Amino acid sequence: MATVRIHIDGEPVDVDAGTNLLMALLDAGHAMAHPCFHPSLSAPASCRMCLAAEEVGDSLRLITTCNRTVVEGQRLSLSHPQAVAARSGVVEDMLLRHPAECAICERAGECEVQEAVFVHGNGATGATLPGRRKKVELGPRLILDRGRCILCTRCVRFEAEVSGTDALAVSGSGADAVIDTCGAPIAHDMTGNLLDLCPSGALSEPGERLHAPAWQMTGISSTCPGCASGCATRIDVANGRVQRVKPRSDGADAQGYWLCDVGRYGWQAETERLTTPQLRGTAVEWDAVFAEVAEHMEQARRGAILLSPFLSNEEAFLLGHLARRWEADLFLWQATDPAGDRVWPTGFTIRAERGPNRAGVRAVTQALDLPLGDGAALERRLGAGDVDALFAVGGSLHGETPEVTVPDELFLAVQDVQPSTWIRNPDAALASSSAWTEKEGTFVDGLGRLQRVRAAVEPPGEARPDFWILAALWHGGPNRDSPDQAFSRLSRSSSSGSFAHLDYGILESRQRPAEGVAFGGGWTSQLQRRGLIAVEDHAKRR
Amino acid sequence: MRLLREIAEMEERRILFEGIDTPDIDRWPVYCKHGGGQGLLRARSLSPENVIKEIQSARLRGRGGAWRLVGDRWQQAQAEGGADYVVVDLLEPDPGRFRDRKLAERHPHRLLEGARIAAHAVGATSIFLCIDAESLRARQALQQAIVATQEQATTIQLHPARGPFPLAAGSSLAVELLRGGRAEPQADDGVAGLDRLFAGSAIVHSASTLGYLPALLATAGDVFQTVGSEWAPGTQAFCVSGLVRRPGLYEVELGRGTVRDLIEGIAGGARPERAIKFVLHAGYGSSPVLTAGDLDRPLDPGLWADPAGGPLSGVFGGGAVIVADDSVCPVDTARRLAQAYAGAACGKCLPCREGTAWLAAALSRLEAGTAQANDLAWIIQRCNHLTPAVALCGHAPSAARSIRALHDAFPEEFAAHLDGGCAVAKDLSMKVPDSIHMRY
Repeated sequence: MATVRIHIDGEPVDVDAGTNLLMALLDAGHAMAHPCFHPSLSAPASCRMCLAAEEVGDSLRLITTCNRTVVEGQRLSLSHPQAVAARSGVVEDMLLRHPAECAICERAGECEVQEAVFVHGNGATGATLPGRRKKVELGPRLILDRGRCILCTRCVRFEAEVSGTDALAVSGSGADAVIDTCGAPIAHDMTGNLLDLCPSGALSEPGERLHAPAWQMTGISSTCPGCASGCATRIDVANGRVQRVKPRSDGADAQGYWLCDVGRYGWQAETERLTTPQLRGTAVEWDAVFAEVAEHMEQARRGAILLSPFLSNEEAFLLGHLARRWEADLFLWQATDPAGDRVWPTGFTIRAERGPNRAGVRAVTQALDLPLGDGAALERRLGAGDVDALFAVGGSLHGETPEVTVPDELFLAVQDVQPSTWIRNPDAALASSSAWTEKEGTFVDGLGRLQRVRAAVEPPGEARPDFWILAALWHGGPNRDSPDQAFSRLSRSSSSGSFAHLDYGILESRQRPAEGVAFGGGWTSQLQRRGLIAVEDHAKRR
Repeated sequence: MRLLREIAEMEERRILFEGIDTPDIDRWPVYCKHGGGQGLLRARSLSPENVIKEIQSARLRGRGGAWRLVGDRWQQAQAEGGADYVVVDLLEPDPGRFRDRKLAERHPHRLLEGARIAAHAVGATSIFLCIDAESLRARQALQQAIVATQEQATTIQLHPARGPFPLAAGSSLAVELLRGGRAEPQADDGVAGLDRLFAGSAIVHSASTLGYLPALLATAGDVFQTVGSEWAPGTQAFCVSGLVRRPGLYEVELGRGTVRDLIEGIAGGARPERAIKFVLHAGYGSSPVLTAGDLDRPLDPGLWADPAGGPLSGVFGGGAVIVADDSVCPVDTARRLAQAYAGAACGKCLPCREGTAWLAAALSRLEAGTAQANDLAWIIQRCNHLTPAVALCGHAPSAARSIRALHDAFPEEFAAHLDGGCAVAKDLSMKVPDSIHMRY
């Protein structure tokens, strides 16, 4: 791609032709607040904060950088007194009616208004007007505090350009202008993104005040297991509990900077958990379950293992080896949303394939050279009485179960997160970890991308991670085997296959950037690295 | 002291409003009978290039307030492949300006003829008239004129829009309204060229600019050869309002006479026993404040556009002249201006939305004598901050410039208000002018 050379404060910088000028400045590490700009939305240049002085011949003129593209030979001065004064003046304008309630604000610590004040503000204000003190509900998961709203209209543009619903609008004019719904409350599966977009804490969700403050949270980079799209997520943890899930994408693919509400709030839905291992409905120690399962599976002459699309590659790898030891056949069930793919105007897709790692499980069995049947094949085998012991893995996030009828007489072991939702109570129930926030390993999404999944919290009670359970079955008891060792073995055993020449180190280095709640905040961490501002970087503390 | 005889030398010279006094001139047969339509006929007999050449040599400048050369804009549009739409901006939200509305109400065919000539020159097939929905008489007159002259070649549509409209918002405001958007201008994105509208491009003109075209084309530009200054040939219609004897709409030759000639001569000067205190030379949102000593400025926009910032510098504006006599408190005027600007702000860009509202509140406090000690300093600081690049359009900068100019002209009176005092004996009686010069 052709590059153009621009000069920022006298320093030459080469950027790709057609780059947004503001993005070029941010990429070069310059401090520039931009409450109204978002790279995935149109740029109205209405917050007037990204002002820079452009040298045209001998004269100087102030321009907004967010709605322009770079021009060859452009000379910009960010530190010119005129530009500095203009930016700090706009910050003063912004604070004329903004309530000084950072101490009780949900967004404090990750707020772009605060960031703008830190970077551009001069610390003085001589003027206040009474702000609008009114909270309104925009939808079941969205509260708008009009006092804090700076009318950046990111939310209005998101509703028009990304979700395509046009559900929000500016109503009124001048100082009376407010954000409002167009009648109906906002209820679609992308509303959570409005929380990430809002630069000022005006938009919040019910109960957000009960979250730990941003600076107490630790961000853990993971991958959303909600469907086969494989969106990058960040799980924010504080006090040993998951507080929230945020998108972590760099906007490079069709999923943009967004995360759907299924992925954002899905972890909250798993309330009823299986917390102890059980044998025929009675809680027992893990050792007893391992012994019982191993005995039955090894003695079975026609054993079967039903794999789940919610297994990680490492877990599937262990089960593949167990299948060899037990001489059992492998089957893989499928979780499909009957409504089909849901595609938003920009291409954002919630896939009908709800299992996050179906492609990965298939690839692992191929790497191990093991035949793999589907749920219908297992159903036929069961119907013909051709199975005498079944080890099945559930782990569904959406309540689906494999559609198989399991006869009473065969031995059934089920590894699942919830009390059995199968046809009959299993002989052995193995309490395992949820894929939302408790799983360690890798997934291969519907586009074939291999990505890390990380555990943010421990499973509840006596429940254990799937990998720990399967490794204990393989090694004959609890041990120190780990997903990265299993992945290395998988990589070696598929010397020419999908996982060849990979390890966790390489995956880490290829991981998409971790900083950035949606986009807001992305530039702040650059400034923090350069020591320009001191905001606790919760995403980096891990 | 000027002699009355000298002042009386200045008189009206009508090109834009030519024939506006004729009864029923808003009816097509009457308009034709008085020479209407000749400009369009001649324009259509010429090629667009020749029309542009004629307008270029006549040096017609846009009367909206920016005073850009119309011929050069057309040539630029031709270079870009022509414009698909001609948009006529009839919004006129500026305080004290009513010129385009009067033209549309009383002389609609002249406006439409000019718009058709412009459409012929830039290759447009559609004309949109963007007008404030509250200008009922103008809408009615234009609609009747459109119905009377609708033709296949060029369609004309009236687009009433609901305000309030920001002032000095530029051409993008009318375009945004035509798109069906809110009354909000678009930010300058540094891309030169025509405004984008629907799937094509649009060229936006003020109604008064187009009103000159029929006369120019009918006389092959001769009418501008002898009238007006070198920088800006032709005339300018001034909307004189406020505390003068004969407020009204006066079309005078540019480059002849001064602001004093206009106010004290044609408009009759101050009321008995009153003296002129200051004049807001507004329109296009720009308000240099002329005190009684500044009134000898020549009425030539070319001399005002002094980039060096000399004594004559300032913005000539769009022809609104608001006169205040010694019964007016400048702080009160500033307060009223600030409230008007705050009320007309669209709310899109942050500095204007917050800044104009705060200025209105602060000036209200100051005028009422309840200001805090640092309010005045902050008012001036906010005004200095609201420069054109800081806000998205010219609305907030105009407000800031007007208030700042009033303060600079009368600093003592502003300072006196901090202590709760106003030295002006306000005249709250009803002010009835001798006559209103809008017989037509």
